[in-house]
Amino acid sequence: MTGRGDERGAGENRWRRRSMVLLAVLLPVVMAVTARQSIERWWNGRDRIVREVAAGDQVDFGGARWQLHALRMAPLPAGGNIPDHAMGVVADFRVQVQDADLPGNWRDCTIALQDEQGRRWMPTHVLPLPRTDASECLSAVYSGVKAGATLRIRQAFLVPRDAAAALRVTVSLARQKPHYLRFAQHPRLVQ
Amino acid sequence: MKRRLATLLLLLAAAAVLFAMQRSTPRYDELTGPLLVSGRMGQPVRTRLFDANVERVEFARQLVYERFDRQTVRTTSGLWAIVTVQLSARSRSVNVGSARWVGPQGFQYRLSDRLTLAPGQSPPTVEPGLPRRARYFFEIRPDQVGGAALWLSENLAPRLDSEARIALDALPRASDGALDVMDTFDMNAAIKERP
Amino acid sequence: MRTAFGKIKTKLATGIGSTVAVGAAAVYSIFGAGPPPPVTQYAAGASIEAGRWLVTPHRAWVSRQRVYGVTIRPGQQALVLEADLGNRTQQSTASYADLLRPAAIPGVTLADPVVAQVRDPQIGPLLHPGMPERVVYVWVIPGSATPPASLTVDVVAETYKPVDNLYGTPGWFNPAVVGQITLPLGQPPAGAEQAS
Repeated sequence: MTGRGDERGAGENRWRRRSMVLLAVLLPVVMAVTARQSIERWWNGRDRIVREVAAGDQVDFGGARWQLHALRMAPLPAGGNIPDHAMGVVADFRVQVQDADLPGNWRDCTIALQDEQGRRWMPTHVLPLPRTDASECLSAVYSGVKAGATLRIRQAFLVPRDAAAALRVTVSLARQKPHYLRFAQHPRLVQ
Repeated sequence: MKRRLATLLLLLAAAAVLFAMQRSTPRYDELTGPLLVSGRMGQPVRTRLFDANVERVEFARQLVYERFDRQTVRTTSGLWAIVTVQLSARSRSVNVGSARWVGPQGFQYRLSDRLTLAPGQSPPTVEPGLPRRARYFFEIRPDQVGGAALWLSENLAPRLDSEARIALDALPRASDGALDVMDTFDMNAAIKERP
Repeated sequence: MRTAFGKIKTKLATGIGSTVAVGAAAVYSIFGAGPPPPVTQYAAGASIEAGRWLVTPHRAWVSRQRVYGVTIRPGQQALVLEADLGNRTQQSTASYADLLRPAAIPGVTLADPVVAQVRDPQIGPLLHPGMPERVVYVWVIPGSATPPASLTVDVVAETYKPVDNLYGTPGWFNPAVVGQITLPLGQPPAGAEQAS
Protein backbone atom coordinates (compact mmCIF):
# COMPACT_ATOMS: atom_id res chain seq x y z
CA MET A 1 0.00 0.00 0.00
CA THR A 2 2.71 2.46 -0.91
CA GLY A 3 1.90 5.77 -2.43
CA ARG A 4 -1.09 6.68 -0.31
CA GLY A 5 0.89 8.73 2.15
CA ASP A 6 -0.35 10.58 5.15
CA GLU A 7 -2.57 12.97 3.30
CA ARG A 8 -5.83 13.17 5.10
CA GLY A 9 -7.97 16.14 4.51
CA ALA A 10 -8.96 18.51 7.24
CA GLY A 11 -12.54 17.41 6.79
CA GLU A 12 -11.66 13.82 7.57
CA ASN A 13 -9.87 14.84 10.75
CA ARG A 14 -12.88 16.84 11.87
CA TRP A 15 -15.27 13.93 11.31
CA ARG A 16 -12.94 11.59 13.18
CA ARG A 17 -13.10 13.85 16.22
CA ARG A 18 -16.86 14.16 15.96
CA SER A 19 -17.25 10.38 15.77
CA MET A 20 -15.15 9.86 18.87
CA VAL A 21 -17.21 12.37 20.79
CA LEU A 22 -20.43 10.82 19.54
CA LEU A 23 -19.20 7.40 20.65
CA ALA A 24 -18.70 8.67 24.17
CA VAL A 25 -22.31 9.94 24.07
CA LEU A 26 -23.93 7.02 22.28
CA LEU A 27 -22.53 4.19 24.37
CA PRO A 28 -24.25 5.24 27.61
CA VAL A 29 -27.46 5.98 25.69
CA VAL A 30 -27.49 2.50 24.17
CA MET A 31 -26.79 0.90 27.53
CA ALA A 32 -29.61 2.89 29.08
CA VAL A 33 -32.06 1.89 26.36
CA THR A 34 -31.26 -1.82 26.58
CA ALA A 35 -31.28 -1.83 30.35
CA ARG A 36 -34.42 0.30 30.69
CA GLN A 37 -36.78 -2.63 31.00
CA SER A 38 -34.75 -4.41 33.67
CA ILE A 39 -34.32 -1.21 35.62
CA GLU A 40 -38.04 -0.50 35.45
CA ARG A 41 -38.90 -3.97 36.59
CA TRP A 42 -36.47 -3.71 39.51
CA TRP A 43 -37.64 -0.23 40.45
CA ASN A 44 -41.29 -1.22 40.46
CA GLY A 45 -40.68 -4.53 42.19
CA ARG A 46 -39.62 -3.00 45.46
CA ASP A 47 -41.85 -1.84 48.29
CA ARG A 48 -41.50 1.88 47.81
CA ILE A 49 -44.84 3.66 47.94
CA VAL A 50 -46.61 3.25 51.23
CA ARG A 51 -50.34 3.55 51.80
CA GLU A 52 -50.90 4.42 55.40
CA VAL A 53 -53.96 2.93 57.04
CA ALA A 54 -55.29 4.52 60.20
CA ALA A 55 -56.32 2.37 63.13
CA GLY A 56 -59.63 0.64 62.59
CA ASP A 57 -59.88 1.57 58.90
CA GLN A 58 -60.63 -0.81 56.08
CA VAL A 59 -58.71 -0.51 52.83
CA ASP A 60 -59.14 -2.06 49.40
CA PHE A 61 -55.95 -3.79 48.33
CA GLY A 62 -55.34 -6.60 45.87
CA GLY A 63 -58.98 -7.42 45.25
CA ALA A 64 -59.96 -7.59 48.90
CA ARG A 65 -60.89 -5.32 51.75
CA TRP A 66 -58.32 -5.56 54.56
CA GLN A 67 -58.83 -4.64 58.16
CA LEU A 68 -56.36 -5.16 60.97
CA HIS A 69 -58.58 -6.72 63.58
CA ALA A 70 -56.02 -7.07 66.37
CA LEU A 71 -52.29 -6.69 66.92
CA ARG A 72 -51.25 -8.22 70.19
CA MET A 73 -47.91 -8.85 71.80
CA ALA A 74 -46.79 -10.86 74.79
CA PRO A 75 -43.32 -11.49 76.22
CA LEU A 76 -42.07 -15.02 75.73
CA PRO A 77 -39.90 -17.02 78.11
CA ALA A 78 -36.59 -18.13 76.64
CA GLY A 79 -36.23 -21.80 75.91
CA GLY A 80 -36.30 -24.28 73.04
CA ASN A 81 -36.48 -22.32 69.85
CA ILE A 82 -37.25 -18.98 71.53
CA PRO A 83 -34.23 -16.76 72.16
CA ASP A 84 -33.85 -14.47 75.18
CA HIS A 85 -35.71 -11.14 75.42
CA ALA A 86 -38.20 -12.17 72.79
CA MET A 87 -41.69 -10.84 72.33
CA GLY A 88 -44.29 -12.71 70.39
CA VAL A 89 -46.55 -10.58 68.21
CA VAL A 90 -49.70 -11.88 66.55
CA ALA A 91 -51.44 -9.94 63.77
CA ASP A 92 -55.07 -10.78 63.06
CA PHE A 93 -56.73 -9.55 59.89
CA ARG A 94 -60.30 -9.72 58.71
CA VAL A 95 -60.21 -9.72 54.93
CA GLN A 96 -63.32 -9.54 52.78
CA VAL A 97 -62.53 -11.09 49.41
CA GLN A 98 -63.93 -9.18 46.46
CA ASP A 99 -62.07 -10.77 43.55
CA ALA A 100 -61.89 -14.55 43.89
CA ASP A 101 -58.67 -14.80 41.88
CA LEU A 102 -56.53 -15.11 44.99
CA PRO A 103 -53.62 -17.07 43.44
CA GLY A 104 -53.09 -14.20 41.00
CA ASN A 105 -53.87 -11.20 43.19
CA TRP A 106 -52.18 -12.45 46.32
CA ARG A 107 -49.07 -13.95 44.81
CA ASP A 108 -46.02 -13.40 47.09
CA CYS A 109 -48.25 -12.18 49.90
CA THR A 110 -45.86 -10.85 52.54
CA ILE A 111 -47.06 -9.67 55.92
CA ALA A 112 -44.18 -8.24 57.94
CA LEU A 113 -43.47 -6.02 60.91
CA GLN A 114 -41.45 -2.91 60.32
CA ASP A 115 -39.85 -0.48 62.74
CA GLU A 116 -38.75 3.14 62.37
CA GLN A 117 -35.27 2.20 61.13
CA GLY A 118 -36.64 0.00 58.39
CA ARG A 119 -35.81 -3.39 59.93
CA ARG A 120 -38.33 -6.06 58.92
CA TRP A 121 -39.50 -9.12 60.73
CA MET A 122 -40.97 -11.95 58.65
CA PRO A 123 -43.54 -14.39 60.05
CA THR A 124 -42.24 -17.17 62.20
CA HIS A 125 -43.46 -20.71 62.72
CA VAL A 126 -41.84 -21.51 66.03
CA LEU A 127 -44.65 -20.13 68.16
CA PRO A 128 -47.23 -22.70 69.13
CA LEU A 129 -50.49 -20.87 68.52
CA PRO A 130 -53.91 -22.27 69.33
CA ARG A 131 -55.64 -23.69 66.29
CA THR A 132 -58.48 -21.53 65.05
CA ASP A 133 -60.08 -21.09 61.66
CA ALA A 134 -57.55 -18.36 60.93
CA SER A 135 -54.91 -19.22 58.36
CA GLU A 136 -51.70 -17.77 57.06
CA CYS A 137 -51.80 -15.53 54.02
CA LEU A 138 -50.07 -17.98 51.69
CA SER A 139 -52.24 -20.91 52.77
CA ALA A 140 -55.37 -18.81 52.36
CA VAL A 141 -54.51 -18.24 48.70
CA TYR A 142 -55.29 -21.83 47.80
CA SER A 143 -58.26 -22.29 50.07
CA GLY A 144 -60.73 -21.76 47.23
CA VAL A 145 -62.59 -18.87 48.79
CA LYS A 146 -65.45 -17.29 46.86
CA ALA A 147 -65.98 -13.57 46.33
CA GLY A 148 -67.77 -11.93 49.22
CA ALA A 149 -66.46 -14.30 51.90
CA THR A 150 -64.48 -13.01 54.84
CA LEU A 151 -61.15 -14.62 55.64
CA ARG A 152 -59.31 -14.53 58.91
CA ILE A 153 -55.59 -14.16 58.33
CA ARG A 154 -53.23 -14.58 61.23
CA GLN A 155 -49.46 -14.30 61.33
CA ALA A 156 -47.07 -14.58 64.25
CA PHE A 157 -43.75 -12.82 64.65
CA LEU A 158 -40.77 -13.04 66.98
CA VAL A 159 -39.36 -9.61 67.82
CA PRO A 160 -37.02 -8.18 70.45
CA ARG A 161 -38.75 -6.78 73.52
CA ASP A 162 -37.18 -3.35 73.29
CA ALA A 163 -38.36 -2.77 69.71
CA ALA A 164 -41.81 -4.29 69.98
CA ALA A 165 -43.80 -1.21 70.99
CA ALA A 166 -42.89 0.83 67.90
CA LEU A 167 -43.63 -1.78 65.25
CA ARG A 168 -46.19 -1.52 62.49
CA VAL A 169 -47.64 -4.16 60.22
CA THR A 170 -47.03 -4.00 56.47
CA VAL A 171 -48.78 -6.02 53.79
CA SER A 172 -47.37 -6.33 50.32
CA LEU A 173 -48.58 -8.28 47.27
CA ALA A 174 -46.62 -8.97 44.10
CA ARG A 175 -49.17 -7.38 41.76
CA GLN A 176 -49.51 -4.25 43.84
CA LYS A 177 -45.83 -3.43 44.09
CA PRO A 178 -44.45 -0.74 44.48
CA HIS A 179 -47.48 0.06 46.64
CA TYR A 180 -47.78 -1.57 50.02
CA LEU A 181 -49.95 -1.13 53.08
CA ARG A 182 -48.78 0.02 56.47
CA PHE A 183 -51.18 -0.05 59.37
CA ALA A 184 -50.73 2.70 61.94
CA GLN A 185 -51.68 0.52 64.91
CA HIS A 186 -48.94 -0.43 67.34
CA PRO A 187 -49.03 -3.79 69.12
CA ARG A 188 -51.03 -3.97 72.31
CA LEU A 189 -49.50 -5.76 75.26
CA VAL A 190 -51.59 -8.62 76.56
CA GLN A 191 -50.97 -10.64 79.76
CA MET B 1 15.02 -6.62 8.45
CA LYS B 2 14.98 -5.04 11.88
CA ARG B 3 11.56 -3.60 11.20
CA ARG B 4 10.21 -6.98 10.25
CA LEU B 5 11.65 -8.53 13.40
CA ALA B 6 10.16 -5.77 15.51
CA THR B 7 6.77 -6.27 13.90
CA LEU B 8 6.93 -10.00 14.50
CA LEU B 9 7.85 -9.53 18.15
CA LEU B 10 5.04 -7.04 18.60
CA LEU B 11 2.64 -9.52 17.06
CA LEU B 12 3.77 -12.30 19.36
CA ALA B 13 3.50 -10.03 22.39
CA ALA B 14 -0.03 -9.04 21.39
CA ALA B 15 -0.96 -12.69 20.93
CA ALA B 16 0.43 -13.54 24.37
CA VAL B 17 -1.51 -10.71 26.02
CA LEU B 18 -4.74 -11.71 24.29
CA PHE B 19 -4.23 -15.33 25.28
CA ALA B 20 -3.70 -14.32 28.92
CA MET B 21 -6.81 -12.17 28.82
CA GLN B 22 -8.90 -14.98 27.38
CA ARG B 23 -7.69 -17.48 29.93
CA SER B 24 -8.20 -15.19 32.90
CA THR B 25 -11.69 -13.94 32.02
CA PRO B 26 -14.03 -15.10 34.78
CA ARG B 27 -16.86 -17.34 33.68
CA TYR B 28 -20.57 -16.54 33.97
CA ASP B 29 -21.04 -18.34 37.25
CA GLU B 30 -18.11 -16.49 38.80
CA LEU B 31 -19.33 -13.12 37.55
CA THR B 32 -22.83 -13.68 38.92
CA GLY B 33 -21.73 -15.80 41.82
CA PRO B 34 -21.40 -15.27 45.53
CA LEU B 35 -19.67 -12.25 47.05
CA LEU B 36 -17.23 -13.74 49.49
CA VAL B 37 -16.58 -12.58 53.01
CA SER B 38 -13.76 -14.46 54.71
CA GLY B 39 -13.13 -14.84 58.39
CA ARG B 40 -11.86 -17.14 61.10
CA MET B 41 -13.35 -18.80 64.10
CA GLY B 42 -14.08 -16.62 67.10
CA GLN B 43 -14.57 -13.39 65.19
CA PRO B 44 -17.87 -12.10 63.79
CA VAL B 45 -17.98 -12.29 60.01
CA ARG B 46 -20.21 -9.56 58.63
CA THR B 47 -22.18 -10.24 55.47
CA ARG B 48 -24.96 -8.23 53.91
CA LEU B 49 -27.79 -9.77 55.87
CA PHE B 50 -26.29 -11.53 58.87
CA ASP B 51 -23.26 -11.69 61.13
CA ALA B 52 -21.86 -15.09 61.92
CA ASN B 53 -19.42 -16.03 64.68
CA VAL B 54 -18.34 -19.65 64.72
CA GLU B 55 -17.95 -20.47 68.40
CA ARG B 56 -16.81 -24.06 68.40
CA VAL B 57 -16.54 -27.24 66.41
CA GLU B 58 -17.10 -30.64 67.93
CA PHE B 59 -16.63 -34.10 66.50
CA ALA B 60 -18.44 -37.29 67.42
CA ARG B 61 -18.60 -40.82 66.15
CA GLN B 62 -22.34 -41.09 66.62
CA LEU B 63 -25.31 -38.92 67.50
CA VAL B 64 -28.03 -39.87 69.93
CA TYR B 65 -31.41 -38.28 70.41
CA GLU B 66 -34.56 -39.15 72.26
CA ARG B 67 -38.00 -38.55 70.88
CA PHE B 68 -41.28 -39.82 72.37
CA ASP B 69 -39.27 -41.94 74.79
CA ARG B 70 -37.48 -43.69 71.96
CA GLN B 71 -33.79 -43.33 71.59
CA THR B 72 -32.36 -43.12 68.09
CA VAL B 73 -28.70 -43.52 67.25
CA ARG B 74 -27.24 -42.12 64.06
CA THR B 75 -23.97 -43.69 63.00
CA THR B 76 -21.80 -42.68 60.11
CA SER B 77 -18.92 -44.13 58.15
CA GLY B 78 -16.91 -40.96 58.79
CA LEU B 79 -17.27 -38.43 61.57
CA TRP B 80 -20.10 -36.18 62.70
CA ALA B 81 -18.99 -32.55 62.80
CA ILE B 82 -21.12 -30.19 64.89
CA VAL B 83 -20.51 -26.50 64.32
CA THR B 84 -22.04 -23.99 66.74
CA VAL B 85 -22.50 -20.55 65.23
CA GLN B 86 -23.76 -17.37 66.85
CA LEU B 87 -25.93 -15.61 64.28
CA SER B 88 -27.45 -12.14 64.26
CA ALA B 89 -29.52 -10.48 61.56
CA ARG B 90 -28.86 -6.95 60.40
CA SER B 91 -31.95 -5.64 58.66
CA ARG B 92 -34.48 -8.42 58.16
CA SER B 93 -35.26 -12.00 59.16
CA VAL B 94 -32.78 -14.35 57.54
CA ASN B 95 -32.89 -18.11 57.27
CA VAL B 96 -29.20 -19.05 57.15
CA GLY B 97 -30.16 -22.40 55.73
CA SER B 98 -27.25 -23.17 53.46
CA ALA B 99 -24.13 -24.36 55.24
CA ARG B 100 -21.30 -26.39 53.75
CA TRP B 101 -18.22 -27.94 55.29
CA VAL B 102 -15.48 -27.53 52.70
CA GLY B 103 -12.42 -29.69 53.16
CA PRO B 104 -8.85 -28.76 52.28
CA GLN B 105 -9.13 -30.27 48.79
CA GLY B 106 -12.42 -28.60 48.03
CA PHE B 107 -14.88 -31.39 48.87
CA GLN B 108 -18.17 -29.77 49.83
CA TYR B 109 -20.20 -31.54 52.49
CA ARG B 110 -23.75 -30.30 52.77
CA LEU B 111 -25.92 -30.37 55.87
CA SER B 112 -26.93 -33.83 56.90
CA ASP B 113 -30.54 -34.67 56.03
CA ARG B 114 -30.76 -37.60 58.45
CA LEU B 115 -31.76 -35.49 61.45
CA THR B 116 -35.11 -34.09 60.40
CA LEU B 117 -36.92 -36.02 63.14
CA ALA B 118 -34.52 -35.00 65.88
CA PRO B 119 -35.88 -32.66 68.52
CA GLY B 120 -35.02 -28.99 68.28
CA GLN B 121 -34.19 -29.09 64.59
CA SER B 122 -35.84 -25.90 63.46
CA PRO B 123 -34.56 -23.93 60.51
CA PRO B 124 -31.80 -21.52 61.59
CA THR B 125 -33.89 -18.39 61.12
CA VAL B 126 -32.52 -15.35 62.92
CA GLU B 127 -34.57 -12.21 63.53
CA PRO B 128 -33.16 -8.66 63.75
CA GLY B 129 -32.48 -7.76 67.35
CA LEU B 130 -32.64 -11.40 68.50
CA PRO B 131 -29.25 -13.05 68.02
CA ARG B 132 -29.31 -16.80 68.41
CA ARG B 133 -27.10 -19.82 68.43
CA ALA B 134 -27.48 -22.33 65.61
CA ARG B 135 -25.98 -25.78 65.33
CA TYR B 136 -25.07 -27.30 62.00
CA PHE B 137 -24.53 -31.03 61.67
CA PHE B 138 -22.32 -32.49 58.96
CA GLU B 139 -21.10 -35.96 58.10
CA ILE B 140 -17.53 -35.71 56.92
CA ARG B 141 -14.69 -38.00 56.02
CA PRO B 142 -12.09 -38.05 58.80
CA ASP B 143 -9.31 -36.70 56.60
CA GLN B 144 -11.35 -33.57 55.77
CA VAL B 145 -11.03 -32.19 59.28
CA GLY B 146 -7.90 -30.05 59.10
CA GLY B 147 -7.77 -26.93 56.96
CA ALA B 148 -11.53 -26.89 56.48
CA ALA B 149 -13.88 -23.94 56.09
CA LEU B 150 -17.55 -23.32 56.76
CA TRP B 151 -19.52 -21.66 53.96
CA LEU B 152 -22.69 -19.97 55.22
CA SER B 153 -25.32 -18.21 53.15
CA GLU B 154 -29.04 -17.76 52.90
CA ASN B 155 -29.48 -19.77 49.72
CA LEU B 156 -27.45 -22.57 48.22
CA ALA B 157 -25.16 -21.09 45.55
CA PRO B 158 -26.04 -17.44 46.15
CA ARG B 159 -26.21 -15.24 43.07
CA LEU B 160 -24.63 -11.85 43.70
CA ASP B 161 -25.23 -12.18 47.42
CA SER B 162 -22.86 -12.65 50.30
CA GLU B 163 -21.43 -15.94 51.37
CA ALA B 164 -19.42 -16.14 54.57
CA ARG B 165 -16.39 -18.41 54.31
CA ILE B 166 -15.05 -19.02 57.77
CA ALA B 167 -11.78 -20.91 58.26
CA LEU B 168 -12.20 -23.56 60.94
CA ASP B 169 -8.84 -23.21 62.58
CA ALA B 170 -9.60 -23.81 66.27
CA LEU B 171 -10.39 -27.51 66.42
CA PRO B 172 -10.83 -29.33 69.74
CA ARG B 173 -7.57 -31.01 70.62
CA ALA B 174 -6.80 -33.44 73.41
CA SER B 175 -3.83 -32.81 75.70
CA ASP B 176 -1.51 -34.77 73.42
CA GLY B 177 -2.46 -32.73 70.38
CA ALA B 178 -4.62 -35.34 68.69
CA LEU B 179 -8.10 -34.48 67.56
CA ASP B 180 -10.69 -34.76 70.30
CA VAL B 181 -13.54 -36.93 69.04
CA MET B 182 -16.45 -37.73 71.31
CA ASP B 183 -17.95 -41.17 71.17
CA THR B 184 -21.51 -39.95 71.41
CA PHE B 185 -23.08 -36.53 71.06
CA ASP B 186 -26.37 -36.22 72.88
CA MET B 187 -28.65 -33.88 70.98
CA ASN B 188 -31.21 -33.58 73.77
CA ALA B 189 -28.59 -32.40 76.24
CA ALA B 190 -27.25 -29.94 73.70
CA ILE B 191 -30.66 -28.32 73.26
CA LYS B 192 -31.07 -27.87 76.98
CA GLU B 193 -27.90 -25.85 77.36
CA ARG B 194 -28.85 -22.21 76.99
CA PRO B 195 -26.40 -19.42 76.09
CA MET C 1 -0.01 -13.98 -16.27
CA ARG C 2 0.34 -17.65 -15.38
CA THR C 3 -1.64 -18.82 -12.37
CA ALA C 4 0.45 -20.12 -9.52
CA PHE C 5 -0.41 -23.78 -9.83
CA GLY C 6 -1.57 -24.41 -13.35
CA LYS C 7 -5.06 -25.40 -14.38
CA ILE C 8 -5.28 -29.03 -13.27
CA LYS C 9 -3.53 -28.49 -10.00
CA THR C 10 -5.84 -25.54 -9.30
CA LYS C 11 -8.89 -27.69 -9.77
CA LEU C 12 -7.42 -30.31 -7.45
CA ALA C 13 -6.61 -27.70 -4.80
CA THR C 14 -10.12 -26.30 -4.83
CA GLY C 15 -11.69 -29.73 -4.69
CA ILE C 16 -9.52 -31.24 -1.99
CA GLY C 17 -11.70 -30.08 0.92
CA SER C 18 -14.95 -31.51 -0.35
CA THR C 19 -13.20 -34.72 -1.43
CA VAL C 20 -11.85 -35.27 2.08
CA ALA C 21 -15.28 -34.56 3.59
CA VAL C 22 -17.07 -37.03 1.36
CA GLY C 23 -14.38 -39.63 1.96
CA ALA C 24 -14.60 -39.23 5.75
CA ALA C 25 -18.39 -39.54 5.70
CA ALA C 26 -18.10 -42.72 3.66
CA VAL C 27 -15.58 -44.23 6.07
CA TYR C 28 -17.77 -43.39 9.12
CA SER C 29 -20.85 -44.98 7.60
CA ILE C 30 -18.93 -48.13 6.68
CA PHE C 31 -17.51 -48.55 10.16
CA GLY C 32 -20.68 -47.53 11.96
CA ALA C 33 -22.93 -49.90 10.11
CA GLY C 34 -21.76 -52.98 11.95
CA PRO C 35 -23.41 -54.45 15.09
CA PRO C 36 -23.13 -52.27 18.24
CA PRO C 37 -20.35 -53.26 20.65
CA PRO C 38 -21.52 -55.55 23.42
CA VAL C 39 -22.26 -53.95 26.78
CA THR C 40 -19.94 -55.01 29.62
CA GLN C 41 -21.65 -57.46 31.94
CA TYR C 42 -21.12 -57.20 35.67
CA ALA C 43 -21.98 -59.60 38.45
CA ALA C 44 -22.50 -59.00 42.16
CA GLY C 45 -19.54 -57.44 43.93
CA ALA C 46 -18.02 -55.75 40.87
CA SER C 47 -17.30 -52.02 41.24
CA ILE C 48 -18.58 -50.03 38.29
CA GLU C 49 -17.42 -46.48 37.63
CA ALA C 50 -20.51 -44.69 36.43
CA GLY C 51 -19.79 -40.99 36.16
CA ARG C 52 -20.90 -39.46 39.44
CA TRP C 53 -21.13 -42.80 41.26
CA LEU C 54 -19.08 -45.87 42.00
CA VAL C 55 -21.69 -48.66 42.09
CA THR C 56 -21.05 -52.04 43.70
CA PRO C 57 -24.18 -54.21 43.46
CA HIS C 58 -24.61 -56.87 46.08
CA ARG C 59 -27.90 -58.71 45.81
CA ALA C 60 -31.46 -58.44 44.63
CA TRP C 61 -34.72 -59.84 45.85
CA VAL C 62 -38.48 -59.54 45.60
CA SER C 63 -40.31 -58.10 48.56
CA ARG C 64 -43.93 -57.88 49.57
CA GLN C 65 -43.35 -56.17 52.89
CA ARG C 66 -41.86 -52.89 53.95
CA VAL C 67 -38.19 -52.90 53.02
CA TYR C 68 -35.77 -50.53 54.78
CA GLY C 69 -38.49 -47.98 55.38
CA VAL C 70 -40.08 -48.04 51.91
CA THR C 71 -43.78 -48.79 52.23
CA ILE C 72 -45.21 -51.45 49.94
CA ARG C 73 -48.95 -51.54 49.92
CA PRO C 74 -50.89 -54.81 49.94
CA GLY C 75 -51.42 -55.93 46.36
CA GLN C 76 -48.01 -54.67 45.35
CA GLN C 77 -44.58 -56.18 45.31
CA ALA C 78 -41.17 -54.67 44.85
CA LEU C 79 -37.95 -55.54 43.08
CA VAL C 80 -35.17 -54.56 45.43
CA LEU C 81 -31.51 -54.17 44.54
CA GLU C 82 -28.94 -53.57 47.27
CA ALA C 83 -25.78 -51.76 46.24
CA ASP C 84 -22.98 -49.60 47.60
CA LEU C 85 -22.95 -46.11 46.13
CA GLY C 86 -19.82 -43.99 46.37
CA ASN C 87 -20.01 -40.31 45.48
CA ARG C 88 -17.21 -39.50 43.04
CA THR C 89 -18.11 -35.83 42.74
CA GLN C 90 -16.92 -32.88 44.72
CA GLN C 91 -20.24 -32.11 46.43
CA SER C 92 -22.86 -33.96 48.41
CA THR C 93 -25.54 -35.02 45.98
CA ALA C 94 -28.62 -37.19 45.75
CA SER C 95 -28.81 -37.61 41.95
CA TYR C 96 -28.93 -41.38 41.75
CA ALA C 97 -32.46 -41.87 40.47
CA ASP C 98 -31.37 -42.31 36.86
CA LEU C 99 -28.30 -44.39 37.63
CA LEU C 100 -29.84 -47.84 37.35
CA ARG C 101 -32.37 -48.58 34.64
CA PRO C 102 -33.97 -52.03 34.87
CA ALA C 103 -34.66 -53.97 31.70
CA ALA C 104 -38.30 -53.96 30.65
CA ILE C 105 -40.49 -56.59 32.22
CA PRO C 106 -43.34 -57.72 29.96
CA GLY C 107 -46.66 -56.32 31.04
CA VAL C 108 -45.31 -53.96 33.69
CA THR C 109 -44.52 -50.26 33.45
CA LEU C 110 -41.67 -49.63 35.85
CA ALA C 111 -41.96 -46.51 37.95
CA ASP C 112 -39.03 -44.43 39.16
CA PRO C 113 -37.10 -46.21 41.87
CA VAL C 114 -37.35 -45.24 45.52
CA VAL C 115 -33.88 -45.23 47.04
CA ALA C 116 -33.49 -45.84 50.75
CA GLN C 117 -30.47 -45.97 52.97
CA VAL C 118 -29.78 -49.23 54.74
CA ARG C 119 -28.24 -47.59 57.81
CA ASP C 120 -31.37 -45.55 58.71
CA PRO C 121 -34.92 -45.62 57.41
CA GLN C 122 -34.12 -42.62 55.25
CA ILE C 123 -35.58 -42.20 51.79
CA GLY C 124 -33.50 -40.35 49.23
CA PRO C 125 -30.43 -39.77 51.41
CA LEU C 126 -27.85 -37.16 50.57
CA LEU C 127 -24.59 -38.96 49.82
CA HIS C 128 -21.35 -37.21 50.65
CA PRO C 129 -18.06 -37.17 48.72
CA GLY C 130 -15.74 -40.01 49.56
CA MET C 131 -18.20 -41.73 51.91
CA PRO C 132 -19.81 -44.76 50.24
CA GLU C 133 -23.13 -45.90 51.66
CA ARG C 134 -25.20 -49.00 51.17
CA VAL C 135 -28.59 -48.21 49.66
CA VAL C 136 -31.46 -50.15 48.19
CA TYR C 137 -33.24 -49.34 44.96
CA VAL C 138 -36.90 -50.30 45.18
CA TRP C 139 -39.04 -50.63 42.07
CA VAL C 140 -42.68 -51.15 42.98
CA ILE C 141 -44.66 -53.34 40.57
CA PRO C 142 -48.20 -54.69 40.79
CA GLY C 143 -48.53 -57.80 42.89
CA SER C 144 -50.13 -59.72 40.05
CA ALA C 145 -47.09 -59.48 37.79
CA THR C 146 -44.66 -62.38 37.64
CA PRO C 147 -41.20 -61.17 38.51
CA PRO C 148 -38.39 -62.49 36.30
CA ALA C 149 -35.88 -65.02 37.57
CA SER C 150 -33.06 -62.51 37.49
CA LEU C 151 -32.96 -58.73 37.56
CA THR C 152 -31.08 -57.05 34.73
CA VAL C 153 -30.32 -53.37 35.11
CA ASP C 154 -28.40 -51.02 32.84
CA VAL C 155 -25.91 -48.73 34.54
CA VAL C 156 -26.20 -45.23 33.12
CA ALA C 157 -23.24 -42.90 33.50
CA GLU C 158 -22.91 -39.23 32.71
CA THR C 159 -19.68 -37.44 31.90
CA TYR C 160 -18.43 -34.31 33.60
CA LYS C 161 -17.97 -31.14 31.58
CA PRO C 162 -16.26 -28.34 33.51
CA VAL C 163 -17.68 -25.79 31.09
CA ASP C 164 -20.94 -26.57 29.37
CA ASN C 165 -22.00 -25.19 26.02
CA LEU C 166 -24.91 -23.09 27.15
CA TYR C 167 -24.05 -21.32 30.40
CA GLY C 168 -20.39 -22.11 30.85
CA THR C 169 -21.11 -23.78 34.18
CA PRO C 170 -19.90 -27.24 35.19
CA GLY C 171 -22.29 -30.16 34.99
CA TRP C 172 -22.83 -33.82 34.20
CA PHE C 173 -24.19 -34.54 30.72
CA ASN C 174 -24.74 -37.17 28.04
CA PRO C 175 -26.06 -40.19 29.91
CA ALA C 176 -24.80 -43.41 28.32
CA VAL C 177 -25.01 -47.05 29.29
CA VAL C 178 -21.65 -48.26 30.58
CA GLY C 179 -22.56 -51.70 31.81
CA GLN C 180 -25.24 -54.15 32.71
CA ILE C 181 -25.74 -55.92 36.01
CA THR C 182 -27.55 -59.22 36.19
CA LEU C 183 -28.44 -60.48 39.65
CA PRO C 184 -30.58 -63.50 40.51
CA LEU C 185 -33.67 -62.56 42.51
CA GLY C 186 -33.15 -64.38 45.76
CA GLN C 187 -34.30 -64.23 49.33
CA PRO C 188 -34.30 -60.98 51.32
CA PRO C 189 -31.56 -60.73 53.93
CA ALA C 190 -32.47 -60.82 57.59
CA GLY C 191 -33.55 -57.45 58.96
CA ALA C 192 -34.44 -55.96 55.59
CA GLU C 193 -38.14 -56.42 55.84
CA GLN C 194 -40.57 -55.32 58.47
CA ALA C 195 -44.27 -55.84 58.52
CA SER C 196 -45.96 -52.57 57.57
